[in-house]
Amino acid sequence: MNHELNDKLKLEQPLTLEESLQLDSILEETKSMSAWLNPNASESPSLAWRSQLNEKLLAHAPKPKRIFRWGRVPQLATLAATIAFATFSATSFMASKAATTPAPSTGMSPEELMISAHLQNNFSAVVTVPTETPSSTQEATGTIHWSPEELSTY
Amino acid sequence: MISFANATHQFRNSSESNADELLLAQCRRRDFEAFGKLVDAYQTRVLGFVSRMVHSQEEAEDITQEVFVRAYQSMDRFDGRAAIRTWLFKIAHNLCIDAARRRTRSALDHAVVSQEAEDRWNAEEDTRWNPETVAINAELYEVVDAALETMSEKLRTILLLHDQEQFSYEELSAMLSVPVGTVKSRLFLARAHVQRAVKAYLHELPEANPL
Repeated sequence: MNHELNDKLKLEQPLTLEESLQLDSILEETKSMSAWLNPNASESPSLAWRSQLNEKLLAHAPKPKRIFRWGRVPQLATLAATIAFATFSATSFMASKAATTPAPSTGMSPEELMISAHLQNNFSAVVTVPTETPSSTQEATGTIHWSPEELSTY
Repeated sequence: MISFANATHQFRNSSESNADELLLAQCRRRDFEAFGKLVDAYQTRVLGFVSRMVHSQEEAEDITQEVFVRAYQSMDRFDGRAAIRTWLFKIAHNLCIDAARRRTRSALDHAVVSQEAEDRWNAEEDTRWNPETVAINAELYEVVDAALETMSEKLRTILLLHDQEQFSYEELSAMLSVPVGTVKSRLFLARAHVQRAVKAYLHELPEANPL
């Protein structure tokens, strides 16, 4: 390689086409020099290093959006109180209305109604007779009339 | 004709970029878990690059963390025109340059090639030789690492990103905002710098390897 080209390379001056080709040729010839660089020079970083890096990255990670905003607590409390008051008022109003509404009249006092129901239960009898097949739920109903002869057998 | 190595490299790049796209879509939704996968995929390579750029392991670890934090912060601004890998290494490179600026010996105060290196350069003859004849061993790695440390930031960046991370000239041109010709020039100068160190090492050996 001539000194003129050396100087140009050192001064990073533009090369002629011929000089460029000469340079390409030299670089191709010395390509195998890359094997001289120690391939094992790069050591894997330690776990402590990686852990420290993770901490730094997390510090720069975007913060997740807050679903609950504490600034809205007074507004939410006011809303909750309003709803509670409205519910309580409605319940009280319904209760008072139910108390003042009279029961449907049947022309009898409660005592008379209770006595009537008791008498009806006593006078009506329903007898359930099982049939031959348990699956069938046929029920025989009717009023039993005991004759004096039947009664005398007991 | 595309060689098998090139075809394999292209296939690997293609599958990598597909996986990157999927990961990118998840990361754009600010998916913390997906970003964790991104970190898992690139942390070792980014740390390896940064370690060789700043010389201090502690500083390299801090810078690498900063790379991923900045990537996470600006994920929504990443337009996707470049691959995630290119984008991450660009952030890493920028942070390394910032760190170099903060140091007493600023990288920007250095020319692409130092005066001492330039003198030696002028005294040498044609630097063409066959690097494949050099036996690779642990000592050679040490010599090359030492050469990397004495290299300017600009040259080291190109050498590491091209020869180790397999970035193309075009990718490096876009990443570093320099013409492709400049990328090639710097790569040549970087390799020449390493080559001189290796030559010196080989000449010191009892049975020097004829170059």
